[in-house]
Amino acid sequence: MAKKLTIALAGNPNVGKSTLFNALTGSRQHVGNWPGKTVEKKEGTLKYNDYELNVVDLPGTYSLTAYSIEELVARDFVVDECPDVVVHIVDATNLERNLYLAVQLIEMGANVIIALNMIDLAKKAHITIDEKKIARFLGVPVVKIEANKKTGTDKLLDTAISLAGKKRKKSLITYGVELEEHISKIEELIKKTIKLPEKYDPKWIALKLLEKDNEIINKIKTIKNSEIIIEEAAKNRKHLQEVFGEDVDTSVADARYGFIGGLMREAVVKKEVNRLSASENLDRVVMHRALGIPIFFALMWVMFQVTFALGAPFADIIDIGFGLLAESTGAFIGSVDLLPAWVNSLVVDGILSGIGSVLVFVPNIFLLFMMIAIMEASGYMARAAFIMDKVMHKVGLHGKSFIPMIIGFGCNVPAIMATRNLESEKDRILTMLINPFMSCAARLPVYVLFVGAFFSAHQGTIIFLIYLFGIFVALLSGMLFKKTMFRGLSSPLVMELPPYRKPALKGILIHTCERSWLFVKKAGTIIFAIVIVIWMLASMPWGVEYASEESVIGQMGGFIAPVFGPCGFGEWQPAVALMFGFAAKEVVVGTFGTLYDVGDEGLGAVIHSHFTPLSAASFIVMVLLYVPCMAVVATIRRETNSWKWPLFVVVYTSGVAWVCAVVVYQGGLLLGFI
Amino acid sequence: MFLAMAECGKKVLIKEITGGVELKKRLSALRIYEGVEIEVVRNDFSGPMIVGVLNSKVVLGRGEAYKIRVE
Repeated sequence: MAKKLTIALAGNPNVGKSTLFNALTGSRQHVGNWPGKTVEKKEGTLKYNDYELNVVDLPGTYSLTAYSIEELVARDFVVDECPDVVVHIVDATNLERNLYLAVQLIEMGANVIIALNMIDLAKKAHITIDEKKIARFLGVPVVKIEANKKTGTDKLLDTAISLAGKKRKKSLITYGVELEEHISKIEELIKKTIKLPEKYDPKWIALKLLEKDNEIINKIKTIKNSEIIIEEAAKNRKHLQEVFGEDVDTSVADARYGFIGGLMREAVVKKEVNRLSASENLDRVVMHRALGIPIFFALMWVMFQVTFALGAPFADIIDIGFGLLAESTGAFIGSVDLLPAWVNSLVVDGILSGIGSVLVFVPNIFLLFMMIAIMEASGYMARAAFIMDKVMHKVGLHGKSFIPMIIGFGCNVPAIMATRNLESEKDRILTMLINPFMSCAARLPVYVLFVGAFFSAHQGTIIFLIYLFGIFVALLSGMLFKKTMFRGLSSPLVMELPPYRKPALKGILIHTCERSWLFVKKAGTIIFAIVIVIWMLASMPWGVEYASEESVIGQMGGFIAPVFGPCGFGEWQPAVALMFGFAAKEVVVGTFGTLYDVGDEGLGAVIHSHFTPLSAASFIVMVLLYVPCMAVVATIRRETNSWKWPLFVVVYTSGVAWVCAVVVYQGGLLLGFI
Repeated sequence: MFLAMAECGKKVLIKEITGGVELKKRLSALRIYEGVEIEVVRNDFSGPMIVGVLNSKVVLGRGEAYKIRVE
């Protein structure tokens, strides 16, 4: 039987960690969440020689001080789960900063291997690295790799396997006489007074206590007699502060960087070269003071054009395929005498037309997710955050908040989860509240349907304008909230500007497929269930014409429809579609498909007889702005840990959407549109 | 003087970082701490600024740039 080993991948953001993860595990990946956390957890397996390796991709972090949820997750995994080996991926072009994390990992007593990535880039930058010397300095193996070309990965795995199970020699950094003295004093005290679980290194715990690491203090607190140690550590910390005239944290950072600096002098030869490179020139343009924002919006416009132009032929193929499937299935069921007519109706009208009308949009959604992934991987996303910072400041947020908003174009659920990257609670909640106005991919089918039916001449441009309008309402709402509920300063903006990189096609595809698959899965489960519910409601009470006004659903729609009268779509069908849209926005189009009992002429043609161009525009605005889907509301509930904010979002977005739709419709009428 | 007032292209030495422990730790993870030399890559004197630290570039908000004393 194959022996099992767990390998954790650690590293700074933007060092090629995902590239290595993809190179190792390929498609054998599983994406989930860290238990109880909203941070994404990626795992994958591979067979190598006689071993079955379980690779865990830790969140990218610069440090392990547990100040952000990502750092905490990464650290807890290394400390508590004791992976057999921790592979730390290091950017060879930025060794000095990267090794800060390496030092912390080694301090923790983890079984570390350094994987020196981007060796090719380092060579180009005239950086010569002696990996043997680094290995000697750090006391851990160092392997040169090129994750994007998959070179060196076999050697990395061989090293990992040979290292697993071995106990590493402890501690290499000295923090200076004074600090060391206090560390060993507390270390001794720990060994004497408490029974520390074996997975914790006493010296590391001593250091963390001196650094006043609250997470560690809380962990230690549960152990008997620990209060003596915590108290002693606090006393020592105070003493050290007086001696050095600076925080212990600064002294520790100083010592770590001092150690790394020594290593760099020994092991790395760097020719002084002009840093002004192509990347710098590109920055001059895309981050230009005046041109930056127009360029950003131009890129977004291109993104949407590509999404639709490239997606259309594939969408047609799926559409035709489902049409044929429905036809032949209908004919087959009709030919079986035993099956009653309602089965035919359920399968063809309900299931196939419902699912089909959702799956048609998979090509568009796939492309949109791919564009967002490319923006992220190329390094442009961080630039966009920089460019938008000034604008976002007017809303009382900083540019970093714009990243969740862009992710919101894909899906609001991960977007709201991405607000975790923001440090302050206030920023997080404010970003969550305005994020639903960022039009997610699930709303896209509605635009495609309506814009295609009424304004097909400028499809890409109009859909782009719809998205812009969403951003506009989001920013306006942000400003309003900031003036009323969220007064006060914004949290600090500290963000690395990653170098531009050519996105790795494989990584982009894996990422995009994952996201799209989630969408398809949703289409296959939630949407499937809802479509059946709709079909049932549309077929009852027994004997009514399918999806007619007399059916249960027709009566429900008819009851709330008058509310939408001033918006220009006071019929019962749009009311029903909007109602179900709260369950999942993907369903809106499917509901129309079912309710209008679409035949061969296609939904686009049927829509024409129920909407005018003006009421279509008003309906688009409604769908853009009204309540986010249940999943988003539930995510906001989970992230804020209260019902107050999700309820607020539901009420506020409904109000805003209704007012805007009425303004569009009534204003349009006044201006003479129909 | 504050980092926020340093001109573009200048290399400055960090004297002091005021503000909470949290900001300090975040900065030190990016190798920005007292005694380190950084380069001002971009400063528009409004909005965020960019500093060069070794081989990497870091965006700092205006508020943060006023919490870093340099010379």
